[in-house]
Amino acid sequence: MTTAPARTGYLIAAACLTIATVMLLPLAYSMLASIKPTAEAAATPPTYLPHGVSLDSYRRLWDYQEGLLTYLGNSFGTAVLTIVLTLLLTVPAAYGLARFPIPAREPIFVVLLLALIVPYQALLTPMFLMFAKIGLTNSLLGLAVLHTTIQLPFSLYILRNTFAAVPREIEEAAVMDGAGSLQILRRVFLPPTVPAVVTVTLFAFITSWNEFLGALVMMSSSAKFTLPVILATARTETSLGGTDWGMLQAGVTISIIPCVLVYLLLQRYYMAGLMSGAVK
Amino acid sequence: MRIRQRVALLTVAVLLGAAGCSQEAEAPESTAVAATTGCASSGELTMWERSGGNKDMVDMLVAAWNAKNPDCKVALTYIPHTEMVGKIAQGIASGQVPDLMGMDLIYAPQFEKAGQLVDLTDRLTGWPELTTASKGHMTVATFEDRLYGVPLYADVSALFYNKDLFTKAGLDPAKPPTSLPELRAYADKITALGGDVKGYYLPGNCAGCNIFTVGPLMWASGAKIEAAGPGDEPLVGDGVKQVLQFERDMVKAGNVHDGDRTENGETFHLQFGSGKVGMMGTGNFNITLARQQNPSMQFGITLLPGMTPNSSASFIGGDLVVVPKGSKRVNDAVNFMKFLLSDDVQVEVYAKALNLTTRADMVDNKYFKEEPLVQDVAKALTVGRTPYTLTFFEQINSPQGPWLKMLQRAYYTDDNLDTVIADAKKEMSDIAAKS
Repeated sequence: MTTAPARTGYLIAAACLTIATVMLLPLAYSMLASIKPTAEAAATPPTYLPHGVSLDSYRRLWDYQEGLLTYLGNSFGTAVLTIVLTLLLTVPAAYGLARFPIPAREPIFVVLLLALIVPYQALLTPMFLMFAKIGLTNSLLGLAVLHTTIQLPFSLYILRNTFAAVPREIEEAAVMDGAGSLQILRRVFLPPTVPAVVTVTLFAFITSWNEFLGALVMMSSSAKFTLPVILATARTETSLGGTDWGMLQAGVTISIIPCVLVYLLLQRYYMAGLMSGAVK
Repeated sequence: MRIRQRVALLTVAVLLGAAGCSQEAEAPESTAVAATTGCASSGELTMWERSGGNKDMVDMLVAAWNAKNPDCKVALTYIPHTEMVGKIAQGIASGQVPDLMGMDLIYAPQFEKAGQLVDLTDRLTGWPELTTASKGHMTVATFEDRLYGVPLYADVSALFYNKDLFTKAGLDPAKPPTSLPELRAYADKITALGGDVKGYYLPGNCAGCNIFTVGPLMWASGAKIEAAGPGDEPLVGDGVKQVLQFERDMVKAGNVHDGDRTENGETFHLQFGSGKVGMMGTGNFNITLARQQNPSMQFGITLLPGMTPNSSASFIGGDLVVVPKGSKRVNDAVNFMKFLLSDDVQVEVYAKALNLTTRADMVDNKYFKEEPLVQDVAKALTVGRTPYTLTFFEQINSPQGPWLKMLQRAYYTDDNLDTVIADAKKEMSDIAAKS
């Protein structure tokens, strides 16, 4: 006989399974569409399970314009640069804001966080004009700088709050042992805050990997486009804006893979990182 | 995407305003240099073109130029077409522009008026090629008697009809409909074949597809659609109501697939080649596409008809090639234009690929002579028109605009058609009044 707590457990499991199924269905549909023969991928009404399997969509994507590898390389390179820049800027900044006796430290932190509520689109044009003046347009470094600026407030929020939660006693012990500020950051603050740093890394990667509008605006030659931009181009590949659905779904499938892999690799740190940033 | 498109277009005015403050002086090159079909200086030329246009044709043209001019090849970048207008405006505002651009011809007047394209009048004056260049393109390439571009490629609309289905329905495949009542009668017979076959196709959720294919039915019936500017009255003439009634009747009679109602243009180009549609307004680009899709299908092309027999019209669309303000290579951009309009390219690139030539005097060529369908579709150039308004997107092309709203009410509701037209007329007039 099933007990009440067990029944509740089954119900919760069933609800979770249902939600997961609903959320994963579009992804599954997209992946299945990417292996349909070309004519079937665009068929009306659509088929759900492929009647045949074909890799033609992936072949077309591989050779699309400058080639898939170019766009994957651009996206990946930009994402890695964004991670590096984000960590280089936010780790010391968060450390400073958490522990150094800076005048008006709290108001500064709040002002920095206010950037979270400014719509990115509103910043894009002035930033583009500024980047154009210093020669950072049509450059992966420029795009990474742009992505870093999007990422900074959230990263700072997570890291600063995490660093603030590190017990002062440990820091004071390190000072007594003669450690300098950088040593304290490296040896005292970073080891227990790895989950938060990983969370920031993960967010920086996903933000940069998925970002479309900035990449479109910043880049002016197709050899510099990132994957989201080239997929938007592929969406209107044919006359009158028609879509090569098979190729587009192949692109969507490929673009998802790195995000899933990175998330799977880092997920054990992820929730801990978010929680550590949520409390002071 | 469509929201992005709207946002992009709404920001255009702001960006163009910014451009007015920051644009660089016109290229320092002399305007007196005579154009050739080759390059005047070496180094890569950059060109932007929208995706979703006639990519194959543009690729071929650029390849032909690059083969002839290895020292100054054109580096072509396709921009997602829903983002193109905003991207151009942003580029011009910051001075980060390509040397030349392909531009959906319908948006050209907006950029000409804003002074964001290089005035090429002095450079192009006297070119004999321009006397026969596509009239629709040349109309929108001109603003206040100044010339800003030449045709890049032309897309015209026409009525495609499936000869196999005509034969099965007992119709003469050599006699396509010459009026809308005739079209209705033919569609009824084809739909009566049953199964998955329908006599007609109506893209129910695509503003652009409808101005391309339903707009000409109205023009051919004596109507006028868009408001050119403030004070100009849109939707004038009995033809508007007659065509709306015709399309409503076609939907009610079951002559279109139910799924057509959601067609937003993304699979529009694939419908005729499916072999399940008896007659459909579409473009010249569909000749090659339908053959690739359905090699055994026999089909013909005729002009889009109006209410009375032998009346016809067409929408001349496609792209212009223009030079954005800030271009450093205006002379070579003009040379590229000369190259596009040259006899050799018109025949050996455009016609050979069975695309329309952009000069009327080049239609009579060896490739078209071997291809009756292209000859048929080329006739549309003689009856075609290109709307000229600074607010084409807002009035017509927008998914939330009055044109599509009016069509959908006409097609899929029982609303009084006079009210439907009056509502759209007011909205279009209001939009034009702000231009």
